[in-house]
Amino acid sequence: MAAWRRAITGAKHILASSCRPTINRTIFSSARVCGMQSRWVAPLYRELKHRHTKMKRMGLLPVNKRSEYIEWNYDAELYGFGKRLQVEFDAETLREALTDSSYVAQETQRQQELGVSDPGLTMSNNKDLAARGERIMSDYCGPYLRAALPLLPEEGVSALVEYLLSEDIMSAVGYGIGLRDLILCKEHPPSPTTMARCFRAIVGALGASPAAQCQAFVRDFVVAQLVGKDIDVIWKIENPMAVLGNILHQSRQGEPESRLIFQAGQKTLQAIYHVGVYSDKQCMGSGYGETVDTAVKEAAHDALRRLFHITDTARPLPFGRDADVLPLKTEANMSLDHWSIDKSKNVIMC
Amino acid sequence: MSGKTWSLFWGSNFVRAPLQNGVGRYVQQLQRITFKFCKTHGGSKGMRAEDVDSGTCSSRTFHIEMAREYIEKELVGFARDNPGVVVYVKPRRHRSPCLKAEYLNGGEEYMSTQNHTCEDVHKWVAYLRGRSGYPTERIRKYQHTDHPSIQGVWTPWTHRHPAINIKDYPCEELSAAPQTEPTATHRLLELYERQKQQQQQQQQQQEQEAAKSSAA
Repeated sequence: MAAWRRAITGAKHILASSCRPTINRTIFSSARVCGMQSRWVAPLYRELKHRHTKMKRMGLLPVNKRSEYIEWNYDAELYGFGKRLQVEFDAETLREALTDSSYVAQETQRQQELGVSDPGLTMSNNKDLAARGERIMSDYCGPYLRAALPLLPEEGVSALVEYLLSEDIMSAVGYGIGLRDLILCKEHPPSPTTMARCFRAIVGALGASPAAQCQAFVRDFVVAQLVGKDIDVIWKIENPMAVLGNILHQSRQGEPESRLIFQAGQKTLQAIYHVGVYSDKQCMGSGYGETVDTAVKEAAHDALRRLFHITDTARPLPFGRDADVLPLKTEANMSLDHWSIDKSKNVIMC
Repeated sequence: MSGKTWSLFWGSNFVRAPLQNGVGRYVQQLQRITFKFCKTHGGSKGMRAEDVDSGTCSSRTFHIEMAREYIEKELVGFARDNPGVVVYVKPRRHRSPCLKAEYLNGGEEYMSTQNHTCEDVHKWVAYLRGRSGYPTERIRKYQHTDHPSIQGVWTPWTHRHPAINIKDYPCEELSAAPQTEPTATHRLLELYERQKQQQQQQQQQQEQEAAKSSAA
């Protein structure tokens, strides 16, 4: 009983001290003014945090450039960039490669707004270096792929090179080696087009270094993007049965015949057919499909994959020491129209 | 935390490497690390040893000093060993120390080093240095491949002979239960065969002996 009484008196005392008449309470003042922990402060912060996360997820929040922060040293970043990728850059060329034309225009305009009539900016943008880099990459990727996949028709090689030099791959590599923060351009974050151009310029900046170093860079960062990807998905053969027929005709072999090997679940939703393609009673390949037509197409695809040595079980692309000793092949592979099994026996496999 | 909640919170993923890292060359994914700390909190820059001994400093001040100890003793060595990592040191007044790591794929890691000793900071920095920049997730397996089977996907007809296509059904031979163990009939037949062979051998031996004796 005595404890109760003490507690009530204490509470009265606290209330009296917290609601002193000297404090001007308005509708804006919180209970914290009275020394009380409010029940709405934490929920409010929680809600604000929730909204912040949501806006961030939707991309509505302005993203600050990393270079706007106080802890930013561009020289140190450029030094670290080269060291990280284990290549030697010429400092001036690297700066040029990272400067986009939009940045130069922006700087010129800014200086004119500040009243400088002749800005006299000596900055040059990375367009020339990008063109040079693209040339370096296409000059290396083609011979490398021809040497690594000697039986792949020339059409396939050029499709692979085109894929590697596409904007998607270029920008993905550019983002992946950390150009996002280093690039000098107007928009932020840099668009894939700008990023792709910048990465090409980085390769162009490496052009001054020894050829082996430059080629190793292209191989390790650009060609490596082919690892784990299906070549016949990148290079789509439109009419595989006709192509196979043409190849067999060139090789003076019998016409391709498709034969049903197995079938199950006809007239159901899960029907499956297993079709083999034969030439002179020799199995060239087999494939599965939900209809006979798709199975025939798949079988012809499989036969072509076996002929071109691009199956899942084929040897992986050479990297590292294997690639250093790989003799590059500048002359074109056999084209698809002239591809024949007899000729393919003469091709030296590395 | 139950297993399900744990999985929902952490998520799960397969082992992966950003940008096929390591196929060609290995690129360290940590691109910059910022050490944020307070220079003067709880004492002047040269915090004296007797202050610590006599206990005039609070334990908090002492530990902040520990975080500074890393910067004084080991940071230069770290920067020298990792030239690809840009190191920033950012003193802030009266704020607790922390590490901020930024990775090439845009990932960021913030870590409070409040009350951490020099060894702790050293270990956490080594941990951040080895990360890939992907968020911490439960790894489903310690290896991953895009082609789980180089023989191809299993189908109902894998290792089946195409001759079963032209059988007339119902077929007694194919409908029969597969024999895995020899039956009693099989065993009897085997015994019979063995006896037959033994008898033949005995007969041959007898004939050879008879031939020898006749020759002598």
